[in-house]
Amino acid sequence: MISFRNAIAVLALCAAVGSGCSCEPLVPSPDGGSGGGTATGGGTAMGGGTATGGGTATGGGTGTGGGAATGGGTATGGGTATGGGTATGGGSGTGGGGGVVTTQLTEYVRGLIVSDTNGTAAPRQPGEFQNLPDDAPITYSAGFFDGGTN
Amino acid sequence: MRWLVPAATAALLASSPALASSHREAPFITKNPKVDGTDFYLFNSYETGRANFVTVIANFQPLQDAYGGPNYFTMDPEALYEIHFDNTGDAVEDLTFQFKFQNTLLNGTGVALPIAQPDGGGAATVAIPLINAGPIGIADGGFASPGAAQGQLENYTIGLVAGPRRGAAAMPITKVAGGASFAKPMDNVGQKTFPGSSYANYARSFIYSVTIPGCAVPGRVFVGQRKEGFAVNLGTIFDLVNAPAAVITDNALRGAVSPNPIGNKNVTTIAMEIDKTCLVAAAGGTVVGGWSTASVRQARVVNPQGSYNTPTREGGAWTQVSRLGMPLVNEVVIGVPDKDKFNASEPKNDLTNFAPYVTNPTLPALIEILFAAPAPRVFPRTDLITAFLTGVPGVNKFNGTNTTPAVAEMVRLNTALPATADGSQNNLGALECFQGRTATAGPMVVLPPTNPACDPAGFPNGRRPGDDVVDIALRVSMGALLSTNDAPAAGVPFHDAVLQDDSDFDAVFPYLKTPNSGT
Repeated sequence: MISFRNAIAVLALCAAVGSGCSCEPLVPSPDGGSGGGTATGGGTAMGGGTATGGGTATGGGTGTGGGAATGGGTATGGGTATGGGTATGGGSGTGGGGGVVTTQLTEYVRGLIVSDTNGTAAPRQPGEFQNLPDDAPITYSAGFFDGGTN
Repeated sequence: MRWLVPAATAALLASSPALASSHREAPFITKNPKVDGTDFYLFNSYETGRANFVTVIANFQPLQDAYGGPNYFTMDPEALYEIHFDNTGDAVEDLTFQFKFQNTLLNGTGVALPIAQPDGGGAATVAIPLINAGPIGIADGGFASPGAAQGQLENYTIGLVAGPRRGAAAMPITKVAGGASFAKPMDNVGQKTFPGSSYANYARSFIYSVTIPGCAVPGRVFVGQRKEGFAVNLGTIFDLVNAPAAVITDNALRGAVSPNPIGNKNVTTIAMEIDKTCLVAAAGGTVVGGWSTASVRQARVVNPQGSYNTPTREGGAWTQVSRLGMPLVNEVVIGVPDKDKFNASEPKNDLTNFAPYVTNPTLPALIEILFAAPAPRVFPRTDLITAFLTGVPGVNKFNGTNTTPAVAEMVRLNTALPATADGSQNNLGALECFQGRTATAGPMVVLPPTNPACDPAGFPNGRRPGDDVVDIALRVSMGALLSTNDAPAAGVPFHDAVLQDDSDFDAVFPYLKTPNSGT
């Protein structure tokens, strides 16, 4: 791993909203099971989250079966939930409050690069990233620059 | 009352207004010169035998010094360069041509030389620090492509998106001769690399006939370095128009500053020639609107180890950072706080985002402050709305089944109006076609023209390389399309003292001239 002190993460200027922008908060793919998270069956969790079966959870969320949850959300079967929302079967849920977002700016940037690099995605809006903390930046591996995800 | 320049006032003024089309015009884009759009041209082709075609030219990378080695001016391989066309009048692109670039080193290293001790000991093959190790051209005008001693190759692909630019995958544009990868010529390094006329011949070999999806007639494409075509007194203009009023209002002195102060610079050109029938649609009639943009990925992580192939990892959505349609808009119309916003914006949102800059412009007020020339007194400036945001009825306003076209900034071209031949073009474009000047009815043009100087094939009906848009814009800004009751200085022939006309360009595609040589 390369120390993040040697890496600089930069967000480019966010442009005007494109048509069809989904603007769902991005859930990055952090290193597995950090910050008190519990991950099993290939899941990835941090910040107290619990993930199983490939799910991803941060900030107390619970993700199973490929779901991604942040801030206390619960997601299963590919759903995405934030801020206490609940999503199943590919749905997307928000609201409920109580969520704790711990995503670091560097982590968010990695998520953008890994998940949003295509020809049709709409730019993320500044409200989603401008206040993300950058006090505990993640590290990027050398392989990241050759197309890796970490 | 017609405004005249008082002699005393003229004597007091020591500056002249100079405008650049769109060179380093917004704070953020100055950090990203490779994606800085500088000029956008759209016109009915005037090359002999090409009357059925439209030419579009999008220039990037401003103010290149020809000697800017050893890396010169490759395009950004992490960027998306686009040319958009609206042919339905809704200010949303219907056709988008996308250009993506790739740089590669010969054999992975560029040119490498065997370095050894004189006795042959300690031999090693070591990469050289230059992009070529020998001439590409030869003195008789010939050339090698690519040269055997050329260590860096630049290629690009072209895609076409029908409908909104992010709504679907791009369809590949291919060479008629086969293949979808296009080579871009090296920049004009200098006379030793490209002796004699070899660069002109070399660059010409990079004009490709292309097959465009959905278009039965092949088009043409050229991407490469060209001589800066825009003529402007750049330093003087931004020094509070540091020229005497008596000069910049004397029509006989339009060419007082020569040569063009930025004529020793180069730009990188993306040029296409497309059959007219492939651009227009029933909703827009014979009119098509165009503009260029450049986008980068939204996120970038710098590789702390440094690398030719992966100096950064960039990803996320394409995020627009440059926009250019009508000349000078972001340069002298949009206020500083909104310049970056304009570069990130789309025409469909112009009315919401930027209307006051057009309806209540500040440039005339600035000129009034600097030169005591009275600015127009009628607001909103419907004349500017017509010239820049809707098109002129009967000329370049959308004339198809869409009877309520959008109000948006783009270059609008009536493809049905014939081109004016090279050598016969009026460098004031269509300015002398307007008659019946009135604020209430807006600018009017009646065709066929009664004024023999009227050239309806010129700006603002599209934009040709030879249109002196600085002079036109200055005059229109000060009310040239209004009556003297509404604009006391309407009849004053403002100019920047740097002349631009069709003699500064070639009469054949891609029209912009061979770039200045590095030596």
